[in-house]
Amino acid sequence: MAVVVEGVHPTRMELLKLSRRTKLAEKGHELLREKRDALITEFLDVVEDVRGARKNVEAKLESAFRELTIAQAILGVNEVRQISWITPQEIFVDLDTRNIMGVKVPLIETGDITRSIMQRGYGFVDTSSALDRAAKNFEEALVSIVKLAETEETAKKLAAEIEKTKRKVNALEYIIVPRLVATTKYITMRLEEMERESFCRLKKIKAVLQRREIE
Amino acid sequence: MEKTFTKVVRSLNVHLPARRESLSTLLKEERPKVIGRNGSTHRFKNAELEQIAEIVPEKHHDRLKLPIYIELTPEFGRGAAKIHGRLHCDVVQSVLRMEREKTDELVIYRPEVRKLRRSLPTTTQYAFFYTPG
Repeated sequence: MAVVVEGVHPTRMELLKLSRRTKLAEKGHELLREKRDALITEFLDVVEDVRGARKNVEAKLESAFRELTIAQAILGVNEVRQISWITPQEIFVDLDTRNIMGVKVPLIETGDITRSIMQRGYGFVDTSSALDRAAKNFEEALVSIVKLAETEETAKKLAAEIEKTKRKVNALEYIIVPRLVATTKYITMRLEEMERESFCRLKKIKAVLQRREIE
Repeated sequence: MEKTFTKVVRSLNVHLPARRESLSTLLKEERPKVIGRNGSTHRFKNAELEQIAEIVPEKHHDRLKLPIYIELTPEFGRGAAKIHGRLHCDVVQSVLRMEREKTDELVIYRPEVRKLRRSLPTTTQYAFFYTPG
């Protein structure tokens, strides 16, 4: 049983105010429920993307490390390390934000990170094709890692917003609206009671007056 | 309490841009974006803009304002959404592979909303409306 709002006067004015508030609360509840549902849909899609991206990253890194190990076996660990120093190490990412129902999530655009053999900067004579394959696989893995970072952060932020919205929806559904309904019911009953009381009083007065007239 | 509710309802739409930009303007920009009413940036993906540019004839690029609003209103029932505007409806019908008909208003349901959001995650945005009374 919901608790009646404290300090309410059982008047018709208050009843009108309360019914307006109840309508507003119900509308707010419906809208927030729509938001929660939409957020959950978005979240499920993002989670699906995260799973796909993670699998992709793991597969790409696995093949990249296999090729790297082969290259290290052929050329030697130190030689591969020296070659890695020659290779340009910066990648350019365009970092911005987008908005999903008020949740600011990152938007990362990488463009084309993969380089041609010429762009990698090392010579062909003393190196192995396994090294080229490793570099290519690592570059492809980087694209997937950036995508994974974007989707994981999005999922985290959406989850936090779902939690907040759920709390608001539940507060409206289980506390505020029932309380307003209970108060409306209380005022209606109180007004009816007052009406009955005044009716009885009038009856009594009428009876007293009639008695006096007879006497 | 009324103030709080009004604030909650109003806060549902603070992410919407103060002014929508036309497709032609956005296509010219290197980093196409709009600024939300709360000052947040909403960036569009270039690939999505190009996809829309292919759907809409070039002569209408000036008239098509982005993002497209997916209007969620409780009056249509849970999960139903409305799309407003001839060009917006055209884009949505094309993306969802619906039968193309000239209309200013389109009602779509949750699975379609989900499909639309997956195809156009940055060029569409949710908007929450309710009719008073």
